[in-house]
Amino acid sequence: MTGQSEPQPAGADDEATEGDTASAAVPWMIIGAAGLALSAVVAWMSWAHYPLGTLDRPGPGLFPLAVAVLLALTSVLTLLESRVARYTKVPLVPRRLLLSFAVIAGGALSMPHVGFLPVAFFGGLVLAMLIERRFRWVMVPTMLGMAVAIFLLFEHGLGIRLPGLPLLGW
Amino acid sequence: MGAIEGLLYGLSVVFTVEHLVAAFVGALLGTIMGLVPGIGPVSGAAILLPLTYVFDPLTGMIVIAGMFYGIMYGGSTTSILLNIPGDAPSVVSAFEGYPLAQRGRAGPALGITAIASFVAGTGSAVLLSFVAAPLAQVAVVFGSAEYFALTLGGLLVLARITGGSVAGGLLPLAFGLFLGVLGEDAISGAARFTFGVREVSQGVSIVALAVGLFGLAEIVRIIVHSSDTPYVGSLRWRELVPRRDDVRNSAGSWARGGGIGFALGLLPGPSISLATLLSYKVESLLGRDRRKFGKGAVSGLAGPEAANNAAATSSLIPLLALGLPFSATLAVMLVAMQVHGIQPGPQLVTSHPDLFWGLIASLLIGNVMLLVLNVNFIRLWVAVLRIPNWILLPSVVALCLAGTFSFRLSWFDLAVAAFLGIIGYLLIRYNFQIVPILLGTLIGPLVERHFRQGITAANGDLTYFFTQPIAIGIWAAVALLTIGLPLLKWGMRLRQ
Repeated sequence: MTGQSEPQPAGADDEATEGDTASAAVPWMIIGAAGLALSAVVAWMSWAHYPLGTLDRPGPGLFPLAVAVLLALTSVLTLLESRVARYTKVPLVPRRLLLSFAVIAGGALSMPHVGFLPVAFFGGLVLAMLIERRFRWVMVPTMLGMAVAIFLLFEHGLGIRLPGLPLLGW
Repeated sequence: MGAIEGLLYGLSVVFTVEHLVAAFVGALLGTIMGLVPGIGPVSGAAILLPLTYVFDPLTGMIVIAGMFYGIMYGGSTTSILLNIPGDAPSVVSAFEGYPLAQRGRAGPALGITAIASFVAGTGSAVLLSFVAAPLAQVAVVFGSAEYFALTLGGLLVLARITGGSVAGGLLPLAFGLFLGVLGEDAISGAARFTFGVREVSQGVSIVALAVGLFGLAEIVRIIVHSSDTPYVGSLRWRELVPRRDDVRNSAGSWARGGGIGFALGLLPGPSISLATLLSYKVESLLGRDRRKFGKGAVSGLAGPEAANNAAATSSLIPLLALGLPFSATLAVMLVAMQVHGIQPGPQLVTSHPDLFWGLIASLLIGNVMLLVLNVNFIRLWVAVLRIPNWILLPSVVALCLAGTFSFRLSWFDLAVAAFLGIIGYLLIRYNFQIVPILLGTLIGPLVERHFRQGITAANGDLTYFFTQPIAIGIWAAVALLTIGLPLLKWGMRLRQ
């Protein structure tokens, strides 16, 4: 929101421009195959581990088995539709995408162990650098202030204790 | 209790200093969140949801009602000032609002939007009280067959009409149904798909689901596809006041837009967007300043804004009366209610009249607070729009993680939110619908419960679900919407 226009990022997704469409066959096939694999696991577990019961007294395994069948059918449909599936291409830098994923997944998985403050500070710093595409010293106090402000909002404003820095017992 | 008595009772319940402050805070937070470009009502509500945990159910609902309207107003503001709609229904606001802003009339455009939202939102909330309670009384007689038809049929309809291809809606629905069976079975108590992990036995957290799918996925999309926002000039309170001819040009449009919005809001699917588009079309034919269309016609802004708020309010009727959310925003509203232990449906009006009528009254309070905020805090909105994305977006991610964790203090919830954030982004990118995942997880357990209760009561006779008169009607409507309409469209395309 700085008002400066930026050049097209280097390495952007096939030099795509907004509004172009491309075949989504491969992603759709991957998603369809993942759906089939999940349906097989759900069906096997429902069948082998939970009682199906009888029709007048269904057990806890019956509904998951029905869900597995629906998952399998819709996965096959996804594989069939993959030939004609398309998606809108937008300029995209894969490194940015992967780093965003890494910050969110890493932050979520490490927060209960290392605490909210370091996750919010370092994760926020990486995201800020990703958005601005450079490091600025002002980001350090800003992200520190943001992490502390949200921590205090939960602790004092909402009365919810977040793990701040569990490694230091705080 | 009649509608007027109920409404007065609701107002008596919510009219306390604490609740008024709650409505103010909700509208303020909602508007600020709605001002973040790219974050619509669904994502905004999901991100703000954790901030309501600490309140009692009624106060929580009042905060959420304020947020609900605030986010929509914020989305319209970015449409008018920046030509960046906060969500699909706000797209139409940019058609006439942005040209008005470019002509130096941003203030009156925002003022007309605020008044349109207030007039239509308040009128619809009053109408809602006349419709929701009688509908809930009818639904009290529903048995398992009717509920099974409503829940399963509703899911199928919503998965089909959220847009995209057949598989693009149904596969996410099936995945959502699977997420809904994780954890302890409500009837037998058996732990399903928990792999011995204690946290999983509690099931998938609805907060993690909403924050992941609609909050984190949206933030990833904005970061990865980031673009800069143009500079916003300054605005003062004085400039908000519309001229007399603006009000003359808007009055009819508010009424027409409100009527269109209220009627279309009752339909499932993207009814709010449809209502704003239809209202824009109607105003282009009937609006007093229709000759200015495309160059900043006040009626082309007033009508759709009224339609937007009226549709958003009337779309609460199926949720309150039947417990069924007809759109993604309502699904998040349902999550918000469940977080506070409120299960909307026909029983709510009889078992918790304070909550039912209090909730409807809170919509009125939310509208009033929004009007107060809109006319007094315009400089704050402009200041929010000037905060750079590198500060705003990391703060929202931190808020999402803190909010998700604090709901049940569970690492599993954080993992689910992150996983669904990533999966949600990829699914959106490749044209799958993510709304059916949320709906499947929320409504799936109800489908299972009504199926198991019904089949046990009918001694294993499956025909029970398809032979009850009301259930037959519901299945016929489902067949019409999922099979009949696509066939009709296909036939018309063939004739052309």
